Amino acid sequence: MGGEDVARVFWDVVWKLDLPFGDPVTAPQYLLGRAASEDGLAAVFNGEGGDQLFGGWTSKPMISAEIYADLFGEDSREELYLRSYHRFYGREERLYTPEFRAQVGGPGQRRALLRPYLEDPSARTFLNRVRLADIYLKGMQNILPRAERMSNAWGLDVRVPLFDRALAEASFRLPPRLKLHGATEKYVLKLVLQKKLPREIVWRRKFGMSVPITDWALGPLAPLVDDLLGADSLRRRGLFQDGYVGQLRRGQNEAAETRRRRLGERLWTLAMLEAWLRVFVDGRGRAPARASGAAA
Amino acid sequence: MKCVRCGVDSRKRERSGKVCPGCHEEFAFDPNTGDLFNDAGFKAAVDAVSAQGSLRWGVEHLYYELCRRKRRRLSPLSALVVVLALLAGAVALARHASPLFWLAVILLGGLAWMLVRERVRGVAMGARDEVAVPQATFDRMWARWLDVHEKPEGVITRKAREETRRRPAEPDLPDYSFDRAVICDRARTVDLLIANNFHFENNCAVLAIGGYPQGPFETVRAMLRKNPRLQVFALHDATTAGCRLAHRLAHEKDWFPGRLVTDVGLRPGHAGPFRGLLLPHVAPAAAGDGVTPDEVEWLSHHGLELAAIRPEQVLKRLYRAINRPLAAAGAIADTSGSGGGDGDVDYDASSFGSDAGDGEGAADGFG
Repeated sequence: MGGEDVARVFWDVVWKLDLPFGDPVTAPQYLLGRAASEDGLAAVFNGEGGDQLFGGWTSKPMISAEIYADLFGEDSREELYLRSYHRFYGREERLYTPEFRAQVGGPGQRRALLRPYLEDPSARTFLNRVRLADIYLKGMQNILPRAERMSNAWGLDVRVPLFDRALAEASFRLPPRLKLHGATEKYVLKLVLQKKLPREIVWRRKFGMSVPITDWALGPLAPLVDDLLGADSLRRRGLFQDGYVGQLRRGQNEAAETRRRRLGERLWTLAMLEAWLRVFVDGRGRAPARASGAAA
Repeated sequence: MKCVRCGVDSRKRERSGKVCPGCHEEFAFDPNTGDLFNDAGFKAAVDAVSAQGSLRWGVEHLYYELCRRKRRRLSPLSALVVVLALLAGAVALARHASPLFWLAVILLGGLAWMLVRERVRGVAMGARDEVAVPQATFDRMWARWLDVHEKPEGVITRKAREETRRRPAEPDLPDYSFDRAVICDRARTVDLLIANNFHFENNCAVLAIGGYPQGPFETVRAMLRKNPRLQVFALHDATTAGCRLAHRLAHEKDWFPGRLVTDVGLRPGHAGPFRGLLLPHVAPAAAGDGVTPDEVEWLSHHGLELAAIRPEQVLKRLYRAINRPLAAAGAIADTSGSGGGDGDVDYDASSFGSDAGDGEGAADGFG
């Protein structure tokens, strides 16, 4: 699977997602669904939820930040949580046009959405509070619906055994150290599965589903990105500043940014939003002309 | 001289003292009165160390940036003098010009250019190894800048203990650990990394060997012991103590005895591009405990601080270093390289040896 494949199905993905999900993993999920469908499968299982329920890598930045919080940081937990998405939090002045910024206001609303989870007194440990936010915001509103839509696009029924309600509730009764054990993520799952799987599989270092999105966005997807996020398009839409977005399109990462993939992730997020606006707002929800090949 | 506030470019005779004729605000510096820089030059140095305002930085980084600029200022001046002399000669003789004459001018011009280039290189690399701006001079310049202008954005300033807004302690935090630890020889390096969220971005503990940051120090050190697969990196200046840091970490019982420590810091072998930024250092050094006999001579006369590297590059080079596959290190126990021949220390001479680009880390994955 390469960027060319993703470019070919981009509008199908936009159409089938129905909402502007900003994670580039949706395109590979869509192509995977197609492959499963072509193999004659009717239902698929996925492993979504393991990180959120059993203490995956997503908790680690928050723990690091909490440990050093009193040295220089002025950020609240909510702000740190938003930063951990690595999209545009803290970049609003550079990204938003003044008009759009005036419309959306400050980041207070987003912080308020997080506070009930990150400050929930019923979750008695820090790890559980971060997991609550992960489950309610990432899991329920992002990971599950996008995986379901990408599978449903091919008539597949997607099953998510780890997000079973009873299992999710049980995960909160487990001691935190059975989830994040030192630096070992999802410890209890590994303890269980080491009886079933080879040791080198169970205890290997984490290797995430990292999509080479920057190579794609600056390569095979570049004409699409230029069309969606070029100066003319941005001016028409009036939401984002060409200075900042143009810098991303030219492949210029921010000085403080060490990971190259952040650049592609940001471009993909903005491109998906613009594509969604064209289809579902400008086009009033009509299927895009370039969408083809998806199951009804 | 250009005003950094209003942008008006004024001549000396247009100014009354150090006051801008455009906005009537005071200049911090005026080279006509003996200052090493003008305000625009000083501000350009601030912009460079802060990566145009996008990074946190320390005053020590600004000091080295000004030293770097002072070093560079010699070369264009030399070049200009020689080129002007050549032009003057050519114009004076032009009235007698013949094709042969112009050929000679071109040949002589080429030769002169080569000489200038050698001269420039000589200035940069030979005569002035040590810092061009005395620390006391810099301190006065910095104080003067703060008097006249606002404190630049992004300067790392530690909070006083009473200013720290202590969050309620989270009792489960000590149960967890980090994937990596970067141990530094000086607290200011820790400040740079923490203030720029290196710990947050890389799930990385950052400590100074001397016990900084005092608040979470012991908690973090205990957390590190909970990860048997912890990756440990030593980040340091090219000083005798700095070059011994990785050895100490790999051998002292309070740290990581028996565990592999990767030395990613500066050593004498890195000093080449830093001529003009070295510190005079006269403390005698001795070989052993992480210092090779080849390094002793250099370390007895010089020092090179990590702050001589711009913050953006420190962060990117460190990211490159901690993501470098162990296989790329050559041998885990490097007994032939610039290190001290420790079996428990991996000497990474390359990561801090050159500029790092965006996201050069080998494993740009999760975590």
